[in-house]
Amino acid sequence: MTEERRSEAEIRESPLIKFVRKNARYLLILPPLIVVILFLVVPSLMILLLSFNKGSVTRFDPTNISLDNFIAVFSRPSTYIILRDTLGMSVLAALITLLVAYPVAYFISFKIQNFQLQGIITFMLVAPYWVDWSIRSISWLSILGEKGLVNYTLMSLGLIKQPLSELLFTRWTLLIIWVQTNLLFMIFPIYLSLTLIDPDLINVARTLGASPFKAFTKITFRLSLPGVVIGIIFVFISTLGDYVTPALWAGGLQMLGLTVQNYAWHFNWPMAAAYSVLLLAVTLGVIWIVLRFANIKQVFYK
Amino acid sequence: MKRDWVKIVLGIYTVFIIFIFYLPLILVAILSFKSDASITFPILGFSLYWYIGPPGLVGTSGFTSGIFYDPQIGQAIINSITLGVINASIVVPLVICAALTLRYAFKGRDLIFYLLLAGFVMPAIIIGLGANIFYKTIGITEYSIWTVLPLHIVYTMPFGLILTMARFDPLMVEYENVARVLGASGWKVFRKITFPLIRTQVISTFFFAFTLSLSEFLRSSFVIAGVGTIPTYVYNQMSVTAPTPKWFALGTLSMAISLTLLFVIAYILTRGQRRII
Amino acid sequence: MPSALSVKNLVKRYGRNVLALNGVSFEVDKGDFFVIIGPSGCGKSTLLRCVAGILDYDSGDIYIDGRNMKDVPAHKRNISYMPETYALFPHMRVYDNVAFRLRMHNFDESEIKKEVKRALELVGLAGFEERWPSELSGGQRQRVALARAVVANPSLLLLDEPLSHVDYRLQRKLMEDFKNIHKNLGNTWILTTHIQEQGLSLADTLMVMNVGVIEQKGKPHEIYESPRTVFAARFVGDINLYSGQVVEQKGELCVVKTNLGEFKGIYKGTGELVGRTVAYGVRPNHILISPVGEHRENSFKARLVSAYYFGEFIEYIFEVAGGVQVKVHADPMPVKLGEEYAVSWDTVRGIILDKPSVIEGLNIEDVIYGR
Repeated sequence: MTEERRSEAEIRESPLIKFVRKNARYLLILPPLIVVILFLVVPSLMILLLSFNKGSVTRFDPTNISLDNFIAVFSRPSTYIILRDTLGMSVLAALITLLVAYPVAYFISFKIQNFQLQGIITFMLVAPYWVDWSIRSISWLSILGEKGLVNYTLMSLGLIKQPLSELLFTRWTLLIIWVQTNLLFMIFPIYLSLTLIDPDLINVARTLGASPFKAFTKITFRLSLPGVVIGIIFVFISTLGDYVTPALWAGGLQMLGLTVQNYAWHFNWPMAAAYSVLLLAVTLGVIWIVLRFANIKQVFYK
Repeated sequence: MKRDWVKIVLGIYTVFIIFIFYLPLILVAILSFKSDASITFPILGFSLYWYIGPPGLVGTSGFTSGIFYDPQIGQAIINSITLGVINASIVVPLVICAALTLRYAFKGRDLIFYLLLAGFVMPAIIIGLGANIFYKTIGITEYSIWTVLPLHIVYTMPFGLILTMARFDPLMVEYENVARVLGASGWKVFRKITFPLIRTQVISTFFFAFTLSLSEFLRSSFVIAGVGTIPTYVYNQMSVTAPTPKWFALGTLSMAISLTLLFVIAYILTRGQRRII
Repeated sequence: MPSALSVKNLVKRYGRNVLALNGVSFEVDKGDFFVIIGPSGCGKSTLLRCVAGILDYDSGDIYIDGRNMKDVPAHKRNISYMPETYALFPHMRVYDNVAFRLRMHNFDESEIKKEVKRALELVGLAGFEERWPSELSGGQRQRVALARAVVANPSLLLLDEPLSHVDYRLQRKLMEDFKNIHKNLGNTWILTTHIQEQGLSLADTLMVMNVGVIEQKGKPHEIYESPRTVFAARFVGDINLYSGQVVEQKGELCVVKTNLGEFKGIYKGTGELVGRTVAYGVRPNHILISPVGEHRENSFKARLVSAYYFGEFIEYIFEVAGGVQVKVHADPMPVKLGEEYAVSWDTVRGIILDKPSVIEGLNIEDVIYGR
């Protein structure tokens, strides 16, 4: 009796339901994928399309296609200066953040055996992020400004007569703020990569004649590259497109992100879009280059 | 036993970095108690005005009040926290879906993996501007937390994904298969086998999604209106008025709340857990 | 000539409660193939890692080739260490893995190329230079790890459980290869395993460990034929053990009264045993099965309850009233399950042991019956 019922049900089961049942495990990727497509791919496409429009439109107008924007972007010498400055600063930011972050990540992952302590230190590094970025940034005014902590201390100690004015609103301010903002996102992937290293690899290297320093450079550091790469990519990208920090803290420095925002502000969105496309192209180019150095996929799946 | 010099040096360095990290915050805390309206040194006197001072004229900064009396800040705080919690709550299941599916090899897996990670890496203006255009195109003109939410999800999901996938137990699929053979249905397998194995990562994902959402404002500013979240609100305010210790009071308060929350969570988490992150 | 390795009173504690090594002392001769066997957790891995210089210990001394290794870091010791997981560098090809030691000692590239080729040929992986570890099978990975370990001929080779994750057939082949390479190179090898057959067939010298102490050290056949403790008897080779009281002792010959009867056996120790509880053991392959009535000097009647086919012999299990069992290894015999037979053995095959283990304070009956 039950057998008949079951086969009837099977016949009645639509091919769609059968498909879903068999492939459920793969279909689970759809929710995140849909969100990403709608709110990442589509907006990017919109920008791409808009860049082909001319004038002050804010929605894609299929009747108004022209390459004028791109011609303008690539023919202006200022574009290349901006590119050079932006890239230069971002590369510098990424490198400095890497140098500052790596020892911390190494210390936490290798030198702290107590997992609880590891967690506490990590939390301590995360806590400042719960204080809003803007507030953290103005605090730098209080530190580096003419009447800030540094100058105040130096002057009270009699070491300088006039307040140092080069501490603020220079490239270095920008770098300091960038490093501070992004440090955690460099520490964390490196820490992850380091913890995934099999300690016996280092042990064996030591017995094969590698001094602690050589064991680090040839084994540990190489194996942490996926994390380093992720960190560099993140810092690089976030500084490349950052328009707020240079505006507030670096005075007249023209940056790519700033340019985009300028155009957006002045309602020439297509031009903003064109520069955005340039920004995106540079971003993707850098990612592609950096990814050559490490196979990131390996860390996450085989 | 020989002394581990590397550990000592690195330890001092880490403490130094943490100190530098916290220096601005310590300063923020101290300066929030200033009695006058400038945010620079020297400190002439201490007061709680910026926290609980009633509205009035203060020095040369014009009409202002302590944060307690500022309804907009209150609204911004509520918005931020709500947004953060909702964001984290949605990101966690999405990350679980993605992470678990990406364990299996299928056509297009690499592309999807990079696509999911792209949200972290896309320059904010492009997303922000693009979303703005997108909303206009589909007819959404009213901005609110809900217009910002999807952008936060796309931005915070990759971090959680990386963090979850990097710490997968390589035998997880094996355990699931065994459970299935033993008669567990799909959902039971997840509840009893899979989830306990990824519990730590899930908690970290929630935590980071919340944190990242709190401070995100580049993307948000393109699709937000009204008071907005703390970052957008503060940024907007500071662009138009001179900075006063009021903002430091806000910062100190959020610092205090988050540190307390941190220690509470840390305490709960680390009881009996092997790894935290 | 100093020994290849000399360990004196090595103590290693993990945390506050776990004593992994309890004052271990022993010597390894130059050129020896030294095998350490013992149950999981007995400290053999810990011992090896301390000798390698990658694990700190609490007290004691380690001398390699006569030199005190007290402040000598791992990379200055002329040794090689191969962990259970082989630990091949995943980010380097086979060539670079094997070449690692040579590069660390600044050999020049032409030398390196030659040596790598030689090492790979030695382990039977000629031509594998350009492969990645992830492309190799388990057995191939181990050979690469071995090649990496033997290149530039270190004086001491430490291998931790190299054969534990390898299938049976491959095990035999690898064991052969190990011995050949060892003979070829002439250096000293120290290998650990928990599989006693490996210990017996591979070792020039065998050392049995038990929870942080050394039970016995000697030639394999010495330990097999003359175990000094019950633990050693049980761990090296199969054995039937029964507890009993000694009623007579005359030189090496003793008479022991057990639940199964009175038996005569050989005692090689130095104690006064009369009246004491001892272990009486006889190995399964020394027992004869015969119809009731015909038997050797020591015997008792028992019922055949099961028979297991082991290919090279049959394991017959006999049982006596009360559930006491005896294992016999013999060629296939015309016996029937459920029937009674006489099991018997010569006196010279009866092993009498008074010490349960090197560890103090253990009850001999507990160790006999594996409690």
